[in-house]
Amino acid sequence: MSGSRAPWRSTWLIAVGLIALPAARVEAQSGSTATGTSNKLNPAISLNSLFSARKSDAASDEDGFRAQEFEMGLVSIVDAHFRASANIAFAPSAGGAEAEVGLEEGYVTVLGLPTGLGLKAGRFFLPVGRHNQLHTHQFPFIDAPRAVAATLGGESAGDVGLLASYLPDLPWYLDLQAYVTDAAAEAFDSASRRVAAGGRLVSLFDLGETATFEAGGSFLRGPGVAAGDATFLGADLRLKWRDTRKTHGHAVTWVSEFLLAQSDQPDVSGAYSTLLFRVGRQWWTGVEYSWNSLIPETGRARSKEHEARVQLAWVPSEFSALRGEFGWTDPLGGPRELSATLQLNFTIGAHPAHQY
Amino acid sequence: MTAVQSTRAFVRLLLFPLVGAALMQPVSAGAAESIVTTLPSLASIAREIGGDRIEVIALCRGYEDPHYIQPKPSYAKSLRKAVLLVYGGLELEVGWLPPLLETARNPKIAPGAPGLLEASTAVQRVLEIPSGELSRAQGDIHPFGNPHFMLDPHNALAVTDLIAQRLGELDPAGREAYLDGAASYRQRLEAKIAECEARAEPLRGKSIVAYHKQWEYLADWLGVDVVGYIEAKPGIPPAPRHVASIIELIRGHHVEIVVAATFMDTAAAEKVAQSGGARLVVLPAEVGGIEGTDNYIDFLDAVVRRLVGQ
Repeated sequence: MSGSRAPWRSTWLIAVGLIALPAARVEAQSGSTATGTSNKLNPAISLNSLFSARKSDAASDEDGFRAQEFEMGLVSIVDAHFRASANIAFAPSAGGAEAEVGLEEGYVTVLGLPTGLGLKAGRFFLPVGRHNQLHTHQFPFIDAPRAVAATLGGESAGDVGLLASYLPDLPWYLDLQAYVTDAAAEAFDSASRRVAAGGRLVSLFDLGETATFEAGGSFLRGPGVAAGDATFLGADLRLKWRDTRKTHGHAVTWVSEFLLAQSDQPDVSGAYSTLLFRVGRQWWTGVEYSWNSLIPETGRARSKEHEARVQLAWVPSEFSALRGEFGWTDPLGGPRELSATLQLNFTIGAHPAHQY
Repeated sequence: MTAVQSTRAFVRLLLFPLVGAALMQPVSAGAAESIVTTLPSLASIAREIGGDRIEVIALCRGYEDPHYIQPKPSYAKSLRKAVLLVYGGLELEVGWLPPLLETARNPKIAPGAPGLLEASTAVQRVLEIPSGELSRAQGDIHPFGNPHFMLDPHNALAVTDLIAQRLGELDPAGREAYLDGAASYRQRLEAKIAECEARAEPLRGKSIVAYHKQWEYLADWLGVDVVGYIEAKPGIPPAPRHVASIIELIRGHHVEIVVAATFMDTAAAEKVAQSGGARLVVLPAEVGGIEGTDNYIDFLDAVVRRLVGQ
């Protein structure tokens, strides 16, 4: 369900080049009224990079060194009415200097709406489940769980549209979202003139000062690739605990998610559960199990895939992390695979917001 | 279950909390305005100024490191109701305040709105504004200067005036009450400052070592010299070689006090202090950081008492 990126490629390369080069040259002249080249109101810019090395016992195409992704983030207040955000991803080809460029997200949010109301317009990650709203460098494990990849696609799916949200004044946190998009994502018939529509609700409860429990439900429907509609349903749970009395105290995050994709084909469903634990100031560990069904083909004895991963991460600062993973995969139509992956993740530029 | 059945089931699921939300909309009390601050010290001052006219909530607890607060969505619930958000600034809350503000969807405290107030704008002398080359190789640096300015009570006096002025602008009917509240509070705070300065006089000119770079305003106020840090770079765990050099420094300079905040690695600080022959003083970095510091004046009193060993 990942959106197509190739059409953006040349346009974005040229655009980024045009923006970046003159800005570098005039840095020393910032504030000049005569030249009009002040950079004081430039957006906050950051660049995240992901490099990995993988080895498996199945001689997979994914083995070897890989420049996974470079993602540029730009955030700024446009004027008194809008705030803008863009995430442009560069995915280098294997072993090559060329890169596929795509606009992962690029949207404005409206400022000054009545209290509790939000409005977002542009291209955004579809709020189907929890994992689909994450950028690659925010994934808890190096790659998306197979359950997410099988139902929604390996990369977070985005589309162009309009999203309205509401935060009612209640004793607990409840966020309601409803949206329409142009149904251009891979899972939909992009030639159709119909739109896709969906919704998500999230409830969060504080369990004392150190823990929270969160439950979410998602729905998305649009014109299917074949006849009929395609429908996606998701349910997710999250429990977080943190020792708040220490700067980098112990912390535990448990996330589980169930996803269902329905169309005129047999249903595809999947679920995963992730447990992350901060064991020390700079050390995290985690385990994940993922299960999913696939559309069975004639002659196949089963239609299930399984995956399990363990992770150890060294996080020396908010700007870099080194993660090592061991994975066991039981895929459909292939041999079982054991793999080991090492990933370097770093960010330069503007301070990234802490994730919750 | 077919797609149509799934859709109906989801719509029913969505309607349940919506109806619940509509039924549970709280009836407005119609009295106190809701004020949110990031730091408990700012909340304490706002309470003194506003009295019963306002309800004040601080997002950060006094025992938490304000750099690393988790932006819990439930905080957005408090921000949603706020008519004024007072934050420290100088990028202290840069990691967690922006996503909360976006989630809160409250135009009264949106960027550019009068309900968004940066307390650091009241500070006349921001310390440690970096000059020269600046990079994150230097650790967790603050490009706009040291943001822990509330550890100098003279800055708290300036912040008192700033908050009172803004409250008066947002609520003109209560302007006189806010100015009176601020004047009364200033009087009590000035008295406590004089008392603390007299008590801390024996510390003047003495050298201390700190775990983390956050006590500069306190040291500047009391005339104490911070000669070294257990962290070689802010936010980076110290290497054994650096720890050994700090222990030597403590011995060489006859440093008597090693200071660490409650949320830092106090066990490591204790070892350093013991090895160097100094006394470890664990200090609350904010109001509420230890018992008996529920307001800014009590906090100030506790910090100075602990420093002088009372």
